[in-house]
Amino acid sequence: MANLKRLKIKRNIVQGLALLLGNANLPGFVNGTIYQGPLKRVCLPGLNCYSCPGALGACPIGSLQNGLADPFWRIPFYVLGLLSLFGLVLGRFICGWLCPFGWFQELLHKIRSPKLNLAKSHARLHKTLLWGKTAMLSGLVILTPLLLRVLTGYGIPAFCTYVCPSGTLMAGIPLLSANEGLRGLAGWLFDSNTHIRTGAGQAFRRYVSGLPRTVNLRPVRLVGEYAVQDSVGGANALVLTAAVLNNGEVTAGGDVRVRFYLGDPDLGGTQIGSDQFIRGLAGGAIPRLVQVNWEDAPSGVWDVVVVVDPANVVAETDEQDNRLLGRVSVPAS
Amino acid sequence: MTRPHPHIRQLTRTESIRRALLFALTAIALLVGLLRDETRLVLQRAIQICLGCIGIG
Repeated sequence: MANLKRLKIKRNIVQGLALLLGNANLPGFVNGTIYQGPLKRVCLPGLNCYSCPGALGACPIGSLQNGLADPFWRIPFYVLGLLSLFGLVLGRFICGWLCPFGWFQELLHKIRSPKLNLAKSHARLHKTLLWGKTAMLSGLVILTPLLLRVLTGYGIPAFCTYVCPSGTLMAGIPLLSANEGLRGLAGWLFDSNTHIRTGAGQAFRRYVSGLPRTVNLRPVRLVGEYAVQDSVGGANALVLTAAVLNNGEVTAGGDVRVRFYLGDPDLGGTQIGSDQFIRGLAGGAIPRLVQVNWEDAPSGVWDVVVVVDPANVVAETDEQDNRLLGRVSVPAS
Repeated sequence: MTRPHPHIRQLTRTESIRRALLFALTAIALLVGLLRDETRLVLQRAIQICLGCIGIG
């Protein structure tokens, strides 16, 4: 009994040391940044999220998923080799002595509360649940990234994204606590007013979601500004300004044509001014402005339609969101 | 002659061969991975904050 107690103490010390050694980038916890040095070429034994501010190595499960999801990586031999080496040399010693998440679970278990021993009370359910780890490994760690890669061209690390408790505990909580920028972005993939992607939304789409790189043009705002009153003609001169966004991933090729119409162009609306062009509209959350002068604008309230890429020259993921109707008020002269 | 360990079960001949084969396969996988510079790919991913992991993605 005394021996067992001594062994438990020894094990706790080793687990604590393993946690410290694997997560020794302590300034990261203060700055809310992660270690980016060469040690991250090596995977740590155990479930240790590499987005943890302290992590000095890579997570083997995360790396395996990234390897399977990446279309340019093919088979992640190095990660598979490391996982196999850990298993062959250390076996379950990793779970009991090295894995930081295993230690955390043990500490949680020490909290005095009623414990359910499924193996005794619900043996059949326990036996079924034992397959859960196999299902998790094969389904979310291996098959989902791989199948998504085959079907869409780019997979996602599904286990990290949807399940991994180590990521939330070791990376999510410390990073969001210390990094104000990330905290501001958390949960805000889209701006609630403009419905365009925020920085996090862009990053999510680029690095995590696995969706193919695209171009999608859409006007997001239309404003008519009363500029100069034409005292000679007695009519108004307005400047119409439209904000055009490419919420895809890559820059739209060539010049993007933008047209302004008085009324719906499909119902006989007339073009206002000449065609305007935007060169090199990059993918992202920042719209570009385009303007046209509306000479001799008659007073009243008018429906103005802005159409981006009217001839559908640029291939987009959604060709249906290229126009925007705005109501422009022209004061009486 | 060495005496068998009292608590650790000795591997059977089949188990020894299987383990040796697994070691060989592991060594080959690691070698191929290193030759293909996969450590760079691991590094590339590991130095980016995984937004999915932290609950933003």
